[in-house]
Amino acid sequence: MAVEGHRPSPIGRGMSTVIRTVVQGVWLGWKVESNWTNPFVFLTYLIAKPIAGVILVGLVFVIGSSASGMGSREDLFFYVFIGAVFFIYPATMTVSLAYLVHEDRAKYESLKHIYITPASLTPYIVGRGMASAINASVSVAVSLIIGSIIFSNHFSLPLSIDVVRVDYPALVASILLGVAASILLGIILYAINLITFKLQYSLAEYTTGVLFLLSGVVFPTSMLPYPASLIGGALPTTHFLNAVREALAGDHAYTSMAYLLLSTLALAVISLACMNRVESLARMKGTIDRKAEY
Amino acid sequence: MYAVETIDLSRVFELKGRRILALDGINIRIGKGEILGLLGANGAGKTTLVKILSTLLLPTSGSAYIHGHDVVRDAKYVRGIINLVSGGETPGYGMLTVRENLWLFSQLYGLSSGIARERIEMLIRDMGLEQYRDVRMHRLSTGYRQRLNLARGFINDPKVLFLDEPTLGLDVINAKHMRRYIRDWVDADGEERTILLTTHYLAEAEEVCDKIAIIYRGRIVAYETPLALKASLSDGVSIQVELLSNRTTKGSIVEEISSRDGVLACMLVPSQNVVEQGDHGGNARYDGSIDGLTRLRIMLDDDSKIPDLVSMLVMNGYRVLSVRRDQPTLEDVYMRYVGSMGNEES
Ligand SMILES: Nc1ncnc2c1ncn2[C@@H]1O[C@H](COP(=O)(O)OP(=O)(O)OP(=O)(O)O)[C@@H](O)[C@H]1O
Ligand SMILES: [Mg+2]
Repeated sequence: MAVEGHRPSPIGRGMSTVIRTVVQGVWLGWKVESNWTNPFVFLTYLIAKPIAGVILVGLVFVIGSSASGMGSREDLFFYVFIGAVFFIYPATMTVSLAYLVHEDRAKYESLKHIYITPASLTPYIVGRGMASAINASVSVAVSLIIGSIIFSNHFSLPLSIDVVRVDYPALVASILLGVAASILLGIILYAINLITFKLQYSLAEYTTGVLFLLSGVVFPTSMLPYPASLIGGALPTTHFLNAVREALAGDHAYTSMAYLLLSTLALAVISLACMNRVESLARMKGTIDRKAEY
Repeated sequence: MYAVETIDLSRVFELKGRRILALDGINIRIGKGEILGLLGANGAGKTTLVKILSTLLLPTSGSAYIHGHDVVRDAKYVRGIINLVSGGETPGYGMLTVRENLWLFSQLYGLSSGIARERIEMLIRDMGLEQYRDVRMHRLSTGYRQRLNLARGFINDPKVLFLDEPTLGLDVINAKHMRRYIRDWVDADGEERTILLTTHYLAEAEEVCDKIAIIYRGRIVAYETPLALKASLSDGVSIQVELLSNRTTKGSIVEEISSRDGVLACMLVPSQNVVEQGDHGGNARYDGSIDGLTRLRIMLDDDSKIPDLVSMLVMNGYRVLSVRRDQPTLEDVYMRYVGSMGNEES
């Protein structure tokens, strides 16, 4: 039986299936991740945890800087605080996409059924990543506001953001690119977890740990030892955080944004190739519907 | 063109240096409008075959076609016209309602919203899920989740539907309903609809299937209509013997009888209780006995062997309560081809 009464051109049809799959992914991700049946747990996860993380980073800064007496305290605080807040995007999204394999495969037993639909996995993952980005945005906004209030009132560290000077178009564009880069990183983790079983939980933790060190969250990548600084410079997360800082400060953000765009494109090539390879590898190894190592 | 065709399909698993030949040169052809029952013991390769045909797993060699389309090269097309339901599983998202779960899949299959809504309502009605339409899945009982799972299998109105032990874990009534439903579903459009169903239950295969394939250690050892399979046994006689004994080693009597001249096969008949358990998905133990009562099903090449057999049993200390001649059943076919109902994994 023909599924639809009239058939649009194959390209239009292909495109619309991809978009529809993304939309389903977003919708499902929102439903699954925003656990309103247990609002307390959900709000803790969405708000309290990221704020705690940001405050921790801030406090380390306060202690560290008072000991070493470095340059302008405000500027450094701005660097660290914004870095920690916006790092919530890659951290949240890579973790949720890395866990997604295990959730769909073992917990909901739905992965094999999603896999055997004509829809591809990649747009589905992209949709799930976008849902995660919505949650991350809430965490970022709340951390930004509450964190800055706490630090300016209790540690006399005002966040020097002049709302009039902020380059909003650059900020929005940087966030969109940062979200895209985070999804692409998440796809790589998804791909690895799809063909393995040992790293279901740990992979995301390791990755966010390494990203935290290499992306210039609390100190510029130039301060890293040689090969690490090179890797840091190639990561879109580094340029994402720089671009956001510059846009917020009203500085010229376009160099960072250009780097962000380039590194995101490179990452897109890598992660789509990964996914492509892994989809057939998983089918060969039979890992799509297996719940554990055989 | 066949609905499903496999040519020398094989699949090898490498497991810790061991090679497991899960499928060994499978050749089957399922015509449109047919229900094929794939019958085999644990580990025989049923699920492996279903996984290859439903594009979840690649074969090691050989090829498989769904409506003429290669499951490996043309997977995208194949996926649009197949679906898969695995019994005993309840896939879906607990926080979504019954309708939302079905909606999700309707969209992944690219159904337009009008058709999707219509079909979802129809399936909800067919599966008796009306009062759970807007109930979140995590609040449904396992049986109702399985109905939802079955409904999902029909969401794209597949041309070929794979059912891997679909009645696993269902109670007797629900299992019966399901068999009736799938038979009616195929018959409603025999030009377009085909089912491959795997099962451990001979009665299930006999009840709904047009053809039966017996799979044993990755090979198809018999492939016929239920009638033809039974007819293939017409050269022998089947008898059912009821014994009473205090002996506890049931295995030895089966072996003893099996090794006798003229005995084609012998097995313990599971008692009613045991069969019920099996229907509920528990591990049926085919020890065939309650309180010392043993039921044996024996196939002989000739009925002149019956008296000898009975006297042998009596001499071994058994009390023979009854001996009954039976029509050959599929059970006999299975015994004949496979030898025992034991676990095949070595
Ligand atoms: N991913 C795998 N890795 C290694 N061996 C496997 C894998 N999947 C299946 N096997 C092996 O292949 C053989 C066939 O398994 P399969 O699951 O197809 O059997 P089955 O007939 O469906 O059995 P059951 O009735 O228990 O469901 C078994 O020996 C099994 O252990
Ligand atoms: Mg199986």
